[in-house]
Amino acid sequence: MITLAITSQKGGVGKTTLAINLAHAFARSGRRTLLVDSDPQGSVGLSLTRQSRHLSGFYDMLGNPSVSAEKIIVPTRMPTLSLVASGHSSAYELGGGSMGVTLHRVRCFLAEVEALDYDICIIDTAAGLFGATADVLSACNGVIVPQQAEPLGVRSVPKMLEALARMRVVNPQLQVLGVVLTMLKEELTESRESAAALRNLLPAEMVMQTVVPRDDLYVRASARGLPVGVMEEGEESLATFDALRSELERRIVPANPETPDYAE
Amino acid sequence: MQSEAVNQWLDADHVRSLAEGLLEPSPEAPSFPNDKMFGSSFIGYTDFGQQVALLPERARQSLSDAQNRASSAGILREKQQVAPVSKPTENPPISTPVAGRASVTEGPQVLATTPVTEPTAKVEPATKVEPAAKVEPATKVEPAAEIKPAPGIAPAPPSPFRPLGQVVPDPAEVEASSGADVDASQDEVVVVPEPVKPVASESVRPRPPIESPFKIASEVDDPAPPVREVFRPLPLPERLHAFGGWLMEQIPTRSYFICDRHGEIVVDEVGSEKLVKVARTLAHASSSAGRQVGENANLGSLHVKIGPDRVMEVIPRRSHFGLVVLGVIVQRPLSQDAVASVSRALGTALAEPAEPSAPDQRQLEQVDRWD
Repeated sequence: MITLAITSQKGGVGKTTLAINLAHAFARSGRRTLLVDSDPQGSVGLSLTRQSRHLSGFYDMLGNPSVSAEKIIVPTRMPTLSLVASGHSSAYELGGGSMGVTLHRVRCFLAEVEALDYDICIIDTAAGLFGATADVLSACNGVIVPQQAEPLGVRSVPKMLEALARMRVVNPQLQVLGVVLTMLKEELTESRESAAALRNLLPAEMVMQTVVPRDDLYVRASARGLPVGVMEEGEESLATFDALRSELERRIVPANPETPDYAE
Repeated sequence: MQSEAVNQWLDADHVRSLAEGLLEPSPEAPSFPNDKMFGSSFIGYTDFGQQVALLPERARQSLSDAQNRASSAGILREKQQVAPVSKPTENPPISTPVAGRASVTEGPQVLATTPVTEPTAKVEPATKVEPAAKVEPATKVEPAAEIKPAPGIAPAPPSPFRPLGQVVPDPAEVEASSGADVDASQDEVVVVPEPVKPVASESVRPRPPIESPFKIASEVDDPAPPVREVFRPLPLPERLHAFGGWLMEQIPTRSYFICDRHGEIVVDEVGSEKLVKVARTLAHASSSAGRQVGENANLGSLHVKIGPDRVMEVIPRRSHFGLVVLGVIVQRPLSQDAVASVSRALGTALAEPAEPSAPDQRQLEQVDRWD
């Protein structure tokens, strides 16, 4: 199983949108996909299920070792896609995670998920590389960094890279799969220039070719609790995330070369 | 033109090198965790007896990198005027002998060089060294263990504080070393490291251990005094121990703990960090609520069900130590009278030892109003 974290230092860059739609794209391709919400805001659940507030989820598992992965996995109408909601994070927010305990539980959880025969686990995280997000990154195989195509977003890139470098000290197996430009507004000069500046700034292999545009359709999709690709006018977005999935599959290196290649 | 809104805010070379580092596979070679954050220029720790030569190429590279960074950040206006770095001489690197070791001719030591970049257009050639910054060659270094400040630079006033555990030299030794001073007329700065004294030398004065006002009850050797002696002016650990004995007799408790206002455990017979955290949270919430609704309001007893037949009764008590929290594991929640009685006894046990042998009723009433 491959575990991917979607993370960024800056908030509001489209992490949840990327996580939901990427998970949907992987599930459509036939991969057994689990989308986990580790953001205490619970944005994944709020985007996709009305009952999310009542669901036990990721933070319940962190706070109580008797909560197994099976108990918190929620199936969806798509047989290959399941969710783990954020759950009740108040205890974690009050007390914080004990050093080492959270990481241990995240690892145990991922081991359970792997035992349930999932092919890929995509974890949406809260902004900033600390707390539970740091523990998630310490346990994942790869990380995808959405980067807003706006000047302020691009200026935050050094901080993000430094934080990722620190995370790689903790988890040397963490593969930086790439930066995904999000919220690109073609008609806005600053947005276009920011995207170009980021491509100039970073090595070509670090920035994904696929770009997620800023589109009202994403707002409408989340209002209806659907991935954007399921919307009536969502063909273009569907193609965008399929392209991104293909690009990622080419980059994913299985942690254990003895096991069959993930991309087959 | 590329986006100035972005490029002027970033050091492109730095960002690119960070990104390239992230794309590289992690090295398989084992490394020490402390080494990892120093980057590729980190050449390792030196040790007494280990001699590390700083390569001239490495020094040049380091200076060049710094100049490039300063230039791209706009600190250096005319990069081309930066003076060339002086060529490495044929002489061995200047050594800094460690006092007490073998002669300075044994081999080179580390020479720490920090490249200084002037923010003006004209930069002094690196080969022109001011006398104040002149480093004495190895052969002229005196084995004296002192640092002479450069003229015009006021030495930092000695701190009145010493870190705990610092070695206190013998006064006789200090007097002797102060006599071996250097010639004050010298302009050169001669930096010679002070000889490292072994910590366990004869000049170390044994310091009495600093004792916490609290002690774990199990470490108290004396047998628990009878309940009546809780009110006697005993040291705090004994009083709390006595209180624990009294508690066990009065209440069918399985175990209990006491923690102070910082969450530090004073007495712990429960051994559950989670329960302590829950108890503190409840106690602080109750204390805040008590302040909000009025001192005389009855907020009821604080208890949490922690098992099929187990309840943790939380009894917060204000004292001159701050809010002290008692957690008692019982089968059923305690009655309000029992809680009040335990709270009073705890308050008395925590009270100042200088109190009279019988509890002062006025003080008890005063303390009660905090609950």
